[in-house]
Amino acid sequence: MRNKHVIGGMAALAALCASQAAQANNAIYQGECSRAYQVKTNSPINTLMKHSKYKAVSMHRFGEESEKRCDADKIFHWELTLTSSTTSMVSYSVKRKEFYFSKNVPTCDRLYSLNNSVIGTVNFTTGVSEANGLCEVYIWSDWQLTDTANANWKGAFANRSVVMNDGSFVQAQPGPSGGLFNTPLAFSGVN
Amino acid sequence: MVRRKIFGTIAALSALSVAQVAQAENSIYQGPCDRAEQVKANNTVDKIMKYSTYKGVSLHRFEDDLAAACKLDTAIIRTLSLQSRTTTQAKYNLVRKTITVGSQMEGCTDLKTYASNTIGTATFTTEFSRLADSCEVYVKVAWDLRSTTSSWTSSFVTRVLVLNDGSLVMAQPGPADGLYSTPIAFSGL
Repeated sequence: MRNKHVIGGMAALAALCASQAAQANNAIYQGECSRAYQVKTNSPINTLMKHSKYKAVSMHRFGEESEKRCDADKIFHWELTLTSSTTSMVSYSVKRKEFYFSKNVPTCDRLYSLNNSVIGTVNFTTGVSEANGLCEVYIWSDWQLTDTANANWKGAFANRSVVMNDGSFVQAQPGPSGGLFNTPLAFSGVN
Repeated sequence: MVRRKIFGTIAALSALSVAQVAQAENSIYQGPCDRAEQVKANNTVDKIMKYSTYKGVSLHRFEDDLAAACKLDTAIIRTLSLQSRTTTQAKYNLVRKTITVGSQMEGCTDLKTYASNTIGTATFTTEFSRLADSCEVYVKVAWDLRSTTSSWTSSFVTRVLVLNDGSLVMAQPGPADGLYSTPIAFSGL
């Protein structure tokens, strides 16, 4: 999550070759281009992002020394509050708070909140792109973050979002291997 | 209804009439039945559930006095460890941990860890079903949970979305009026 510009990946349920496992493009439609543009027109972003407040929690292992010592995962608590909404873009302010959650190791057996607070903005839009002779429609989220405890830190990443059938939305956050990970961000509308 | 190659969730975007909002059916494929059968055959669950350990977390606002008074959120952390895996079924052991997070209000406990007392299994399969004018393929997970400290048990089934990095997400619709349960999002380790 502290890396810059993690771009939503492209895999290929679209391609679905024999013996290929399902991989989602994280697109909301893929098919004929004329239909794709119709889908985009009929799905303005302010009808997809219909809540004024979203909340989520995500879990991370970055490989920091304190994480290794305590076998501790880090938890991010996210809150988005609507700031503007049009048919072409919906914007939210972002508040993020960090927590450590450590395993039951004697000197690490505690849960605590870090002093910093990450704030920023996220803008959601819908896009159309062509791939393999087909067009796809997707939701794009562009995050710009700063840290109130560290003026030098800036976080920026962009990714595709997937809207689920209950109005919640998720996005993958590809993480490093070797026991390090970022769980997807999974947001629910809370009002 | 035009239904073809709609992925990762999302369903009826294809069927959109003007002004209709996209609603997902949380399937991995929806379209012609012969193609759906091929998709299912090519996507056995052992290829989808390729990690031996998954970690996931979700956020909740439950209907109790403390949560309401202190505006506390509850985070439930889940760890899945592979028990068995074949082309038709992948079964994981579940351990769950609960913490409260979020509130900085005076007189409220901000952070609290609860002992892990919920365990169980999660069994993943790839499913095929016929709809009115098409077929769909989706990943299903059956949860069997029990408490280690009481007689409480719970069994339920949800659909799973597979994102493009191999992570998993499952919706868990929550109540309205300020209460909620976010989707459970798992990463493979």
